[in-house]
Amino acid sequence: MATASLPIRQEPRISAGLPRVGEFMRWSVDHKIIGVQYMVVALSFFFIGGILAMLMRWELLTPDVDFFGDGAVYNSAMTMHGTIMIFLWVIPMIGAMGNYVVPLQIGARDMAFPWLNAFAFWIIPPAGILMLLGWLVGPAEAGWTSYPPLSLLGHDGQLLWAVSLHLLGISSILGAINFIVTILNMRPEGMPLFRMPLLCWAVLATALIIVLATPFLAGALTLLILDMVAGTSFFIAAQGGDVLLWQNVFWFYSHPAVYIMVLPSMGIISEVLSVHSRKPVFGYRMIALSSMSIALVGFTVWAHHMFTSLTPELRIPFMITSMIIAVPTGIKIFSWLATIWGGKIHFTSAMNFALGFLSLFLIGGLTGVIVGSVPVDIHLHDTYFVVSHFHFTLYGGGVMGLFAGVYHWWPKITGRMLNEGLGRWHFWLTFIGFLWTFLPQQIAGMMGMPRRVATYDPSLLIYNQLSSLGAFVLGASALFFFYNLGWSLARGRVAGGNPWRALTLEWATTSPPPPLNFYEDPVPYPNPYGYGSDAAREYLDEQQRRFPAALEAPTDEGSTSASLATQPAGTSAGSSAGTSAGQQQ
Amino acid sequence: MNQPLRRLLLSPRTLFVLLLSGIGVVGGGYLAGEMTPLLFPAQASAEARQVDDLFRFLMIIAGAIWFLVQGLIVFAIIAYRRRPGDDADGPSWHGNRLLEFVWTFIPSVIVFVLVVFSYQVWVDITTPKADENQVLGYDVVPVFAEGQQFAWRFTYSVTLPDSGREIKVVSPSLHTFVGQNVHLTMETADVIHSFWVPAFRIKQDLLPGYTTDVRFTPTLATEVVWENGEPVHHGYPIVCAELCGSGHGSMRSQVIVHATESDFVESFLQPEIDFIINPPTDPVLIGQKLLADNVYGCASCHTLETPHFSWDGNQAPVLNGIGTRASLRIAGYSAKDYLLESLGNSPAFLVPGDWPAVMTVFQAEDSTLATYMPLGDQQAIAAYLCTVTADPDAEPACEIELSAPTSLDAPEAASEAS
Amino acid sequence: MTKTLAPGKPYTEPASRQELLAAKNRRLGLLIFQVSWMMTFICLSVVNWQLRWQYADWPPSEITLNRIFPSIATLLLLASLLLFRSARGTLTAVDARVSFRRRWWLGIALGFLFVTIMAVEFFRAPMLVGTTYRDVFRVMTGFHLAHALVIGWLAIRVLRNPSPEDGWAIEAAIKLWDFVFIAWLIFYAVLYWI
Repeated sequence: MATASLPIRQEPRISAGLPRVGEFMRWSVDHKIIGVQYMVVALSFFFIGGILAMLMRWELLTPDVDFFGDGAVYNSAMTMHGTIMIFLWVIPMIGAMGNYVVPLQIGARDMAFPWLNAFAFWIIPPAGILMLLGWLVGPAEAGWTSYPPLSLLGHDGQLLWAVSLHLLGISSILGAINFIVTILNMRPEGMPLFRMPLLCWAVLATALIIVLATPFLAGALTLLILDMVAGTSFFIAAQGGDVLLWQNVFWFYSHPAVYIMVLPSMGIISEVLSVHSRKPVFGYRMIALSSMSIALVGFTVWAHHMFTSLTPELRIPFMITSMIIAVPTGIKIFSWLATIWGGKIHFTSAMNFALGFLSLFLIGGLTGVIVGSVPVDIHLHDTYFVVSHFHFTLYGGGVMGLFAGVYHWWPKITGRMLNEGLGRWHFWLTFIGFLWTFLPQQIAGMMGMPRRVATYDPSLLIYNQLSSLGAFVLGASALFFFYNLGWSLARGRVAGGNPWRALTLEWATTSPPPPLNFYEDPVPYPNPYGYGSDAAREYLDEQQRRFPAALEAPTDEGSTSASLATQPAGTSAGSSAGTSAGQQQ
Repeated sequence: MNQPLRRLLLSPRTLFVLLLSGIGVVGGGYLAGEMTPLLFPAQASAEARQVDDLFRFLMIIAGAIWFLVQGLIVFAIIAYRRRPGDDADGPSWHGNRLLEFVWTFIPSVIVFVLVVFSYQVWVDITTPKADENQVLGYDVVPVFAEGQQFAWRFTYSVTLPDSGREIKVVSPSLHTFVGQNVHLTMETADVIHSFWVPAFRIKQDLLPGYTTDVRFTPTLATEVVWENGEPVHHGYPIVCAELCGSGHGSMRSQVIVHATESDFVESFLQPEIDFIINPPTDPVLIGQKLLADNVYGCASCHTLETPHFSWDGNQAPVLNGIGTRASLRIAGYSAKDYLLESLGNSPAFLVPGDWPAVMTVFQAEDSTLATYMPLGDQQAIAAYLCTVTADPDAEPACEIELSAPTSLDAPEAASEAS
Repeated sequence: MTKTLAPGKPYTEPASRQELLAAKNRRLGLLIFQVSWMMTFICLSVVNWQLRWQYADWPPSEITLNRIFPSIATLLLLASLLLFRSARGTLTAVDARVSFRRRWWLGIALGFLFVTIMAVEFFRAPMLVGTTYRDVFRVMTGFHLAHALVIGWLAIRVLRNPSPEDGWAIEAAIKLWDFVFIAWLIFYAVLYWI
């Protein structure tokens, strides 16, 4: 009987190993390479955005504008920090996780449109550079929300910012189309929609939001660019324009955008909590449906970002829709709690981050309900309370989920395990640093500190200093993460096919998978989260037994019976060497 | 539900644990609510009281939920951690209809209650009150706020009861009194700003192309401190709460809440009215008033420290000692000529440098434009600036006589840069 | 896989599961792309709607809106769409190549007429007084024109392909021209009637 303590140790026989570094720097239509490319770009921008945050918090150690010298420079740092973190870190990282894992989880050879996949990725590096070039010509300074008329008074960098964002939006739409078609069309026979992994549900919901909402961002940016260069006056009140037009169109995209950023992490959490506590996901159907309902209802709440500018009569309806969205979110949190309840919780780094997600996203959600109430939001809007709220949901939720995903799937992607000790440092520094940074901000906001300022009332000094110290701790935590990634590539223990003994299909192949993902026609285990049953245990044991055999004579794509000849007779799961030959492309 | 689970749930031990946790959750929620006064500034308006009550309720609910869920998470982490050597999987629970219904239904009910409570408070806060903007002896005195990069200006439209003449009192701070139902209308001169008084818990954006408004009723007078024999109010801060440019963080003012209506009239409104009706003959005093009240927005950008007022804008040159410099800066220009030229034709002698702000080009011809500054005002301001010498005891650098009407004289009331 | 034109069949049967899947993927992908991109048109219509609340009259009273030409253009566009569709229908006929090309070219010609009329409308717009009205009008007509031109060019490319039996190119071109038409209907209604 094979051991089942995680991660399990398998014989160090990997099939193809990672492709050479050069492969990752070139155009490739292999979704696995594209996934890694997305990840590298995303992590690079995470680093840049993080440096900007450290600089901002350094400035905020004192009530006066001293470090940056000028409020305008601070505004540009703040604008770029937000824009980079949203559009060049979180959203591309979702592209990374989704691109790598989704095709594997549904047993596909690649995404539906591999060429389009590569094209969508390659838009991102130039768009990112274009955004950074803003610093050469005078950067954007109007916040990531870029409200006119302020954004129309800016430097040329504001135009670069708008064009760059346009490109990034197009990239995300193309990627989303790919995800929807892949998930809807390319699942195998044994995987109807309600038996596919929850990450796929989450990515499907996210992709639906992207295709429906991002065009509004494109519209808003187009009008802004026309106002900047073509002498139109969509947002210039003196010439017949309307500043509220920007706010409505922009937020119609940007509110669903926050669900884009958090839904995939929720999918990741469903996976990780289940695998690492050896229990099925509790309420699978409700979690899947709640992802869809969050996506849908998310389109009706946008004006809660405008509670102090919208016509007063319209504020209450948006309060109602905003409060409603708390219900499916709550369903998820309770379901996840029930998932780990009664299980065998393995405190791997992935699990730690997933549990951290639960705690931090809980606070984020609760503060969201608080600002959802119009009278209270009148006081809290545009203060540091809101800054704290969205960092709790986007970082404490979204980014923690992404970290959990990296720790969970890194062995599959690279064939090597990450260092658990470093992972623990990373987690605890992140968790403590995060609370240290953002809890004082809630109080600062309530006491009267507005957003987007480099100078503040001296009575708020203590909160800002505490927050800045916490931010430095949080910044340091990222260093442990990056070091761990490098350490793993150099010295990490070989992972084997299924170190976590998970039931989903991506683990039914080698780590990393061969170019066409599977050595045989993948047949999904009937329940992707069927832990705790004898059948599951047998399936996993069988898989472990067969793996060394499948690894024996690998590498070229057409290989069929040769590699599978050493299968024990009467293998389960219904694959057969004969038919697989015809299926290889 | 399976039998072992049923037995577990109904055992005395379980019920005891449930009772204890229930107390913990409810108590925790209550404690969270109690934190409310510590988290907010002074509760200085009727609206603040209602918002704080609503917030307290939200905190109780959020606190209780937090204690419940976080407590369960911590419990699960401890109780269900994998023991060394335990390599089995957990139980194969896929769901429970009842549980899922409960945790859908109860949050829905909570959400409904929150919506109803919030709606009630909202209606209360926004319903127009009776007797808005009433001031004893002057009937209705509408007050208008204007935001510009990066200062606030408040204008009171006073109709004199005896003559019917309408005058405008301008002030950089908002003056009101306890119990006044204030209805403030607002416009912006440039970009979006937001009028926020944390102590009142009210906030409203100022949008180009719109006239927005906000209502509040102060209930707590501002603290009065005696400095140099003069009573000074420590007003409630007015904070700009919408990014408006490089000076956004310094765009502040204050609300001064007089304890009584008569105090408001006697110590603020009446002296301002008197100054306008009977302006002093000395142009220096007129100039001082125009600058102290920030009628022309100079305070947003310039820094100037005088015995009468203090500006700390950092978007434009520092004006300390301008009186002395004025005669030395441009060859052939005396202090008086320099100052008058700088005001009436400002691009003439701009100080070179990368200033974030752009100097307004004032003009004395078209009184309908926002840049209108009557000649008399230019002379008054120049006269005052002549007294701003590097050495505070020195003689004024020039003497100017008023030869044209000032904004205080015009029958259709002062037209300031709005 | 060789492609042979079997009598009575519009195009070759896909030979393998992969081709079927690829065809299914292409169709779904194009559909989702169109739904997504339709949202930009809806966005511009919403922009039109929001801006008009600033005005007492919309269009501003100085403008008399000429509905004749745009209506003719709409009918031309509809006709060209119907021609493209009927061209595809003739692919099963005996003289498939000839009849297909004839109808397809006619469809292109009518589409070209549509583009010409709307280009005139676009460039005429400066005569409209009232800045924001003109801005919105030009953005909407210009945006649609750009799409009509790009997709029209794709339609022309179908004919450059020596074997118009390639089912997907024709099918995609028709679906995209459907899109141009539906988007135009929305804009036509918002610009000239509502």
